[in-house]
Amino acid sequence: MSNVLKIEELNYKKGGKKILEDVNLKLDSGKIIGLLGENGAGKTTLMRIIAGVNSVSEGVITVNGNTKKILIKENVSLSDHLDGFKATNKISEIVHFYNAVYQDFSITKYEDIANFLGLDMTKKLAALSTGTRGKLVIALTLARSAKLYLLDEPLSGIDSISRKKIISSIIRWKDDDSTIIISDHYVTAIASLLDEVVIIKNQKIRDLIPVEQIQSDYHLGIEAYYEKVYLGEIQ
Amino acid sequence: MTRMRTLNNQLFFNRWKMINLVFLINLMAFGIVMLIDVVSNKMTFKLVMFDKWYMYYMLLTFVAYLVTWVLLAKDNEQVLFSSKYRMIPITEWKLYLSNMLSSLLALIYFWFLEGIVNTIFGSIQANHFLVGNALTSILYTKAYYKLPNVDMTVRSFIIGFLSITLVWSIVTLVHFLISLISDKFALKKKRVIKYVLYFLITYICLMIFNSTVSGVFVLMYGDGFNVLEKINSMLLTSIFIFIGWIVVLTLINIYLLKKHIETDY
Amino acid sequence: MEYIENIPIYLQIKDYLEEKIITESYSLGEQMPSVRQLALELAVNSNTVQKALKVMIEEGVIITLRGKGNFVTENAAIVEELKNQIVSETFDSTYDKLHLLKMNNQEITNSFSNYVKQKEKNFE
Repeated sequence: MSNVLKIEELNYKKGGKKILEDVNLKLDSGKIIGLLGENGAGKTTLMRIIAGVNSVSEGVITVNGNTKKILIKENVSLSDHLDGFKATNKISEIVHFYNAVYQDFSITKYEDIANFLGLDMTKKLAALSTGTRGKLVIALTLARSAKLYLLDEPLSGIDSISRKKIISSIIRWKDDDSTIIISDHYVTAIASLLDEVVIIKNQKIRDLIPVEQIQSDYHLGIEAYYEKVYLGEIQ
Repeated sequence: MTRMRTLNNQLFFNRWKMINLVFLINLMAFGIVMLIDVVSNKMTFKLVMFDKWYMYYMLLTFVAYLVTWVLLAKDNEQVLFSSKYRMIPITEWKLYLSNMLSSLLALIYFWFLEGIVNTIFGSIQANHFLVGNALTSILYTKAYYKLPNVDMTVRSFIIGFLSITLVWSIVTLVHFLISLISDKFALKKKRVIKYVLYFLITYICLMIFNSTVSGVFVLMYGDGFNVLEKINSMLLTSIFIFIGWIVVLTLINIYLLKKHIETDY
Repeated sequence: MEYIENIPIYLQIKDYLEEKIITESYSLGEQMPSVRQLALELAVNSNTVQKALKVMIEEGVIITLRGKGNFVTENAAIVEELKNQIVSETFDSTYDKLHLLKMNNQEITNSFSNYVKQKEKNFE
């Protein structure tokens, strides 16, 4: 299997503070990877660095063999929280924008996902509940056909019914050869989805560990393992 | 890869909507002013009122220009700091240029709308020329019907256009530098420092700009400004200086955008 | 379906599918749902379903027909064997535990038949 993502010697500072330190990571394609860490641990930052939205001062990011930012952006679909859109924008306008600016955006795929999730095209962004907004973000992100999907806390603040729907849509619309990274600090909701887990703690990344190894080597669930790592009980 | 034209269309469309709104509000405000004037004159209409209205209109338009300019500058900045646009697979220089270009197009569109209204006023005024007062006669005869030098008008127009581009470029540079500085160092009282920096950098930019412009003029026209024929070539020189500055600032801005500037949201 | 957190999910899915085959929810020779369908139904990653199916294919419970999909074996003996295996696995730990209590085989058999009788009574 080829590496869909390779991060080498990444260091990242902001406002004079170290956010990420000595990050090295290699991901095989086709998997669903959980990116776990406390709020403010640097999950979002890492995703934005991978997607080329944040700039890398030190280190190399390679996505699907590309190191050029523009080619990385073509291969990566990052879930945007849509804060750049106006509150008065209708869903249809946002979809229209995505369809125009992303060549790999499929309007049919979007409609399939939106129908499944029950999204109404005529609604305005301001009128959406947190759950519905989360669904819209997922539908927009998955409707691109990228090699790597970065879902930044897709379930945070979302009710359990919407959560189930969103998880189903991720399972249903993930291509076999595409890779998904999901970040979350509430692990249980996504536990059954994950092949592998990456934990960020103290600006550093712990090695990638397959979920089955957590279960067979430590006899722990993901949540328990994650907590033990954070408490320093597992080194 | 997203085509520049596609992005242009998207950016321009938003601003086009914004301009329409500003223009509509401008017209509505003007309508209200006219109505108030008619009502307070006991519903009688005199042609003299027309001159007064034109003055009001000019005033309102001036405000609308300012508002448009600020709104466009704000939108221009927001695009460069927003993930909505920075996620798009397009190079930074294409993003930067199409952003600037669509702002300028939006401004031209506003000029065009105001131009239509002005022409309507002008034609009404021309038909009732004798009734108009002295001021409007001067305005119309000089400004619209006796353009002394087409070349000079075009050049002044270009200068106006370029100076707006230049100021926007400076605003962007200031914004970029502030973001850069606050990213590199841990700053307390960010807001205060932000505004201090804003003034400081704007001041420095203006100083540098001012000294080059005046320096060049002194070098070229040190023998005196008041020769009328020289105004035209002076305008031409200004155009070149402006273009030079815009190119330099644009290059710096694109470099910063590419290497350092990150999104706010 | 609820999963036990510290047991690999593919093993739990394997158990679930085997149970369905033994109880003939999926009868002999019947086509299995597609990987994606199963993944959706079970709310797991399709890689996990794939892994469970792979083990079941290795054990001969499921047969892959190229281009057609996965089918439950037509060999009733394999399913019967699977059932026996599960039955003995279930008894293994119970038997060991009772043995630790120094119960002999006769006592164990008696207590189990009493247990079953009690259950029947409760059910009535």
